[in-house]
Amino acid sequence: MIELTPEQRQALDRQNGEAVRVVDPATKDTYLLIREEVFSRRSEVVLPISQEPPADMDPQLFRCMRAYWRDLPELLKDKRNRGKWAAYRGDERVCVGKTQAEVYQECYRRGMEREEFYVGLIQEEPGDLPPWAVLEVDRSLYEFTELGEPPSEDG
Amino acid sequence: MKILDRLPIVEDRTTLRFGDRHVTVHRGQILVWLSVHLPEVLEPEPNTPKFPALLDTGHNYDFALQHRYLREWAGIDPRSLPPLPGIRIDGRPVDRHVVTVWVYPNVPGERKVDTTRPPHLLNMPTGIAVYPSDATNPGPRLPLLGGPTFLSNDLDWWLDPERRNITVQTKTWRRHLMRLLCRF
Repeated sequence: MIELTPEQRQALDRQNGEAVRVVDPATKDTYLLIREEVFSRRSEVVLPISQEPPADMDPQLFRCMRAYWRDLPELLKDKRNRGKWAAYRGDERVCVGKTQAEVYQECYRRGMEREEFYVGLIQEEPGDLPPWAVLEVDRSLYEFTELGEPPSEDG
Repeated sequence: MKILDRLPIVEDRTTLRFGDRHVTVHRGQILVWLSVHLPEVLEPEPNTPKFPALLDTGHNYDFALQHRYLREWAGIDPRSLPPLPGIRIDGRPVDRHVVTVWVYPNVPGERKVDTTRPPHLLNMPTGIAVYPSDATNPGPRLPLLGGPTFLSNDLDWWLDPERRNITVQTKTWRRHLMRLLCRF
């Protein structure tokens, strides 16, 4: 059995019984650390979603996203904003437009480079996830074929 | 507005040709036609390359495809797309980018694209997943349009099991009627 390090114990204490995600720096594979009794009690383990930006994220983009996330509740108060898109450069809002394409065009018209700004949709985020959260997706597309069928073509 | 109008769910394995390419579509798979563009493109040009994707309601992300499909089928170098923080698919890191995606209406009751009707813009507020070219797992055999797309684009979809087809449409009075009928 592998023994917990003090750092891991502290991380578990902070999670109040929820799982802690552990990453293998060599392979980037992730693991969950969870108390055995909690794991066996649950049929579904609640995966923690990090609110922290990924380590390799561009700090400029993070700053734009954080400004969008900060303003989103205020923007949502006005129903006319819902479904529109907002662009941010640094801490400041550049513009709001009906479509993502319009907002991108406006930012380029103002001479901005694509790395300088972030465009986010003005809608309530499912699960209240910030745009920098690393989303978890299951592998999909398991295809059923008859035995003996020729291999699939994929372009 | 109807986007997919009684799109058939074909019972046989078929080979689909587009340009000089061939792809296999297995029985029961739901095939849609899409185009992908740089985020600033207001609407697709008539000669924009369209490519097939599978509608996969079990996929818990809006849209995912292999790097090479973006390059070879959509004609876009992923490096020209604004990046977003990556996602993890099946525990592995996958790139995420900002794009615009358009879905093409079908000829009612057929798989063919209806060239007389305009494409419909699909918002991808969390971007799209692009499997890196050097990934051990190259990604799904065909691009996948996931179930969350219907939610983020406020689309209704109805599957007719008897006639083996699906209809996808924007919000209309039918939604309220269906909601009511589902209660009984």
